[in-house]
Amino acid sequence: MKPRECEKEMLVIEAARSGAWDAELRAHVAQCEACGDVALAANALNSMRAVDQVEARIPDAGLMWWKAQLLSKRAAAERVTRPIRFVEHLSYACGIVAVVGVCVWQWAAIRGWFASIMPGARAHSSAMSSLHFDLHGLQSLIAGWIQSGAVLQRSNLAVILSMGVLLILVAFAAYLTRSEE
Amino acid sequence: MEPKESRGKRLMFKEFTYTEAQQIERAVGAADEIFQMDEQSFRTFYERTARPLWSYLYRTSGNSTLADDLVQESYFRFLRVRFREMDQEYMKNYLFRIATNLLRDHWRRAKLEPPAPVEREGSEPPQIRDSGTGEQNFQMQADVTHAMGKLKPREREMLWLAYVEGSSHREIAEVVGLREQSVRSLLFRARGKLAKMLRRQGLGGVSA
Repeated sequence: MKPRECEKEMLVIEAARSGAWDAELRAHVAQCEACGDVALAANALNSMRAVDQVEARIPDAGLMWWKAQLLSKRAAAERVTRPIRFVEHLSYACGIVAVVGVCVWQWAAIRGWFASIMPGARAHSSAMSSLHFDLHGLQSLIAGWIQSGAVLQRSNLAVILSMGVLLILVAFAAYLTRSEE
Repeated sequence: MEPKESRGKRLMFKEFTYTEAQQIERAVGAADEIFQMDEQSFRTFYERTARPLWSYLYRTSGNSTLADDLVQESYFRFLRVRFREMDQEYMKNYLFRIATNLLRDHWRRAKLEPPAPVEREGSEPPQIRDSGTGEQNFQMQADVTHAMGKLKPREREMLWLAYVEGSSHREIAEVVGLREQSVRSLLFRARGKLAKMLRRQGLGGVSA
């Protein structure tokens, strides 16, 4: 369908917006189908606008300005703290990777350590289940822990400590790099 | 999961090193200079455009609360834009474009069908320019709102921009994101549809 247009449409729209109709334009609208539609639609919509002019709840311009500034400051602070958050997350990830890596790497030693404390743990759990506090069971459990700890300390502690220091240094270096950016 | 807003607040209050605090201070200070407009220009522009923008959003969305929110968000976004020319009409169209996009984003996010406009509860009989009584005017408002509700959101947007804001086809095309030629034919169809519905409701006499 080809749009039917009239050269006086803009005049009709302006008249509907301002409410100033002259006799000649009224006569034209009564005869012209396109302008009749425009006048009907424009008058109806502008009557809604007239209501809204009274009823609209618009915040004060000063309040809007102040809120916009506050939001932009918050956005700026958010941008600046982004590298810090990145390094935080990176250090958490490094920590988790380090723990998992050590567990995989030293699985044999860990398994041995668990095996050494198991008799004590079993004694402890049986004492608890029978509701008799067995002092001897507790002593053997603690002794097992100390012994296994000592074994671990002798064999692997130096390696684990080195890994830990290395990871901290890597995280610190990454933090410095990001904050410089 | 912790909401983004809350994470932001937590970060604002965490402890920072001296260097970090200085960096934040510099960036926040620079935020004052982000806006291209000064406060006085903004006030003038806001006084001229806020009510028309609210009206546009309310009549195309049918939700006054949503219109309140989107008006604010539109100005916040508008203030961050760097304009090549500070022409008032151009800036006004840009503002309406932001508002239109925000409205569409809202519907898309909520996965909602845009609702038909509804007349606000308890609204007073409108004071319009014809000589009808308050009750007649009120009925006419209800009829117009009903007819608008039958139109598609894009049709409502185009009709409002053309006949209330007095925008040209080119300006409407920029706001609604269509080609000028498409606006011409879609507007013609929308106008015919609205006029037909209004005549059917016995409102043909409103013209001129």
